[in-house]
Amino acid sequence: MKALFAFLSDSEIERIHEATLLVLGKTGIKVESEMVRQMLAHHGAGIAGNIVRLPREMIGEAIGKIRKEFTLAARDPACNLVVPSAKTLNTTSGYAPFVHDLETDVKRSSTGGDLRDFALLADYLEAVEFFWPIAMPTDGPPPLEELSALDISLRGIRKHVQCSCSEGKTAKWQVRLAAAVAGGEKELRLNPIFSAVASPVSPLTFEKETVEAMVILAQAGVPVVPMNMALGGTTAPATLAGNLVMANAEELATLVILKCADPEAPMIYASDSGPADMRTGAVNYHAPEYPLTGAALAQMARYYGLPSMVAHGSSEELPADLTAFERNVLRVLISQATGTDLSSWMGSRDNSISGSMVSLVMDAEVYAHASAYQRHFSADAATLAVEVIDEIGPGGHFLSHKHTVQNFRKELWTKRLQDSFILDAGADSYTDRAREKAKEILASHSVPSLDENVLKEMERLMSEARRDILSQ
Amino acid sequence: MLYAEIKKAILDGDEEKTVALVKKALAEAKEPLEILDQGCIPGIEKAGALFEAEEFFLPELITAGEATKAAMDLLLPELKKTEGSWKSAGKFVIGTVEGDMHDIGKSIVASMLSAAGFEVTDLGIDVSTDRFIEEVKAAKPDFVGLSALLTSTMPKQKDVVDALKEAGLRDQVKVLVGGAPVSSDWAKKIGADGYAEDAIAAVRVAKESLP
Repeated sequence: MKALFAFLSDSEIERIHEATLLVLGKTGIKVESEMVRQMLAHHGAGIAGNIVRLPREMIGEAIGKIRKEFTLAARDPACNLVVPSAKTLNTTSGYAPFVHDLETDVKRSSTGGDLRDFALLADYLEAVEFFWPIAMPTDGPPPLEELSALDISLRGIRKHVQCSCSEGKTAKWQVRLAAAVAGGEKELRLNPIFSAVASPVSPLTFEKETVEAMVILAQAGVPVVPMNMALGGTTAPATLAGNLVMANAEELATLVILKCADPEAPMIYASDSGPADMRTGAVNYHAPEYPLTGAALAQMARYYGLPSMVAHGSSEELPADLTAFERNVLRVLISQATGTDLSSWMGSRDNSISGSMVSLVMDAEVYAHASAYQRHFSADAATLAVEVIDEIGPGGHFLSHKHTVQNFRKELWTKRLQDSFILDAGADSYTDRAREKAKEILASHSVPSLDENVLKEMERLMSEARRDILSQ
Repeated sequence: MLYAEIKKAILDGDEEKTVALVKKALAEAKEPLEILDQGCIPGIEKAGALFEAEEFFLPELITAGEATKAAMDLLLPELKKTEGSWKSAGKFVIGTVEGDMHDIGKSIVASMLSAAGFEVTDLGIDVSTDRFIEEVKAAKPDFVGLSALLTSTMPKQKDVVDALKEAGLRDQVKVLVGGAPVSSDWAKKIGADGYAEDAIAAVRVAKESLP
């Protein structure tokens, strides 16, 4: 994708790449799985305890095997997505343990029922191109949460599901469950109807269960999304450049692990890295370094030819007025201007710790405004319009020229006030309008049920998985 | 059927097709007044209504106006032959005042007025006060329309009103003013007869101030 906003020069990209190779070769990564360490050693890595050093050639080989384009398939093939994309594809924020209740806006623990409602809402909203289970089913046993989240999502939405996966056993059952819906493991490999966020922990650490899950997913052909979170000042150097090296090193290390597991493994270059808040130590999504980091990492991803998911313009707050709404539009616009292929941000509250249906509807509206900046652009004879300019000549006007009539609706902003409930809220508050809209959608929209035999097979797999996972 | 096609061609802003259809209607010995009333007027009125409803944009309004004007150019000589059955909505002289080079807004108004059945003389841009007076003397229009887009050229609208008074012509012609910085308050202040916010309003104001 062509980015509207780039940050690094070509030589800076090269320097970050070189620094990354130095870190991975000298410092190495911590891999807490004996199985994965052995696999990496077999492919030429240096092992010292649980530290794995990746030689330059090994990294080069993994880069050479990058899948530059692949499909994020969906239960309904009409919702299939291909990455890289011509414009940023957006999804909900995700895996939150809380929701802001639709009726009361009070924050409470999230349930499977909430997730079902979110899936229904996200199925309806066009701006949501694929689905992160935005709220976890915390009313069930914790070890089953990630699997249940996939189960509920596959039933509840026709779009591609990108779930979280942090355990080897979860990965195994997620693959089986999705294969049952896709029509077999071979079909799942061809058309992965889910991808999985399985992430290293900054700095440079691959936790045992997560890294084993990565391997299982890679071998099943499920795209892995290693969304690291290197925070400048806490888990990475405070310098922007140092933070980029850290984030990039973790992405390349994941690439090497996946390619050792399966040379065909698809990966998304994913990051939610940014600056730490130097008062609290938490991520500072509102700092200018956050979109700058996203822009730079999108460039690194394009440098390697990996589809990216590196900038997430979360608004995090309900706009109290039109000015706040426009601020949100700007944040999303800047994040998408990085040229990130995928972005996760919609419906998020309180630094992604909570999901809100009101926010989700509002964010779909934010996107409707921000997306106008991401556009099809061509510079050919018809659009450069030299002949038209010549025909009108100096001092004339283009208003009634055929070329104007044919092009203005697709080239110029013609949105009307009443097309947007935000701009045309009248006496009501935007929040009330968004809440009403969410309720209307939940009451009127429906998602076709999966085939009965598939549902039976899913039930069977879920009860088997329950025994397997809860027995330990 | 033919009239519905003319209406559609005008709505599509298709000047060529409008002209072809009007020629065909005349060749079929249809009454010019009927062609106007049942084909052209419904077309341009619909375009105006769609513009006011914010469904049409300027290019669509103007091209519909231009198509109607092309039809009028064919129909007018025929209409004038049949005395009594038709009379123009009025004579309208229009121009952008001296020192102001802005053309588009004034041209849109001129095109809409033509489409609405006015006989329009467009004097163009940077029109001197004297030139307006000469034209009013010579053509004896019902209206003179003065456009100004700049606060620095607005006073020229007042100059024209004053010059009309001095020449003893003020009672013979209605003065309508327009342009981005112009308001109905300004119109009152300088002694003009009316103000219109856009081209659709200009047609309405002109028609309303007819005796």
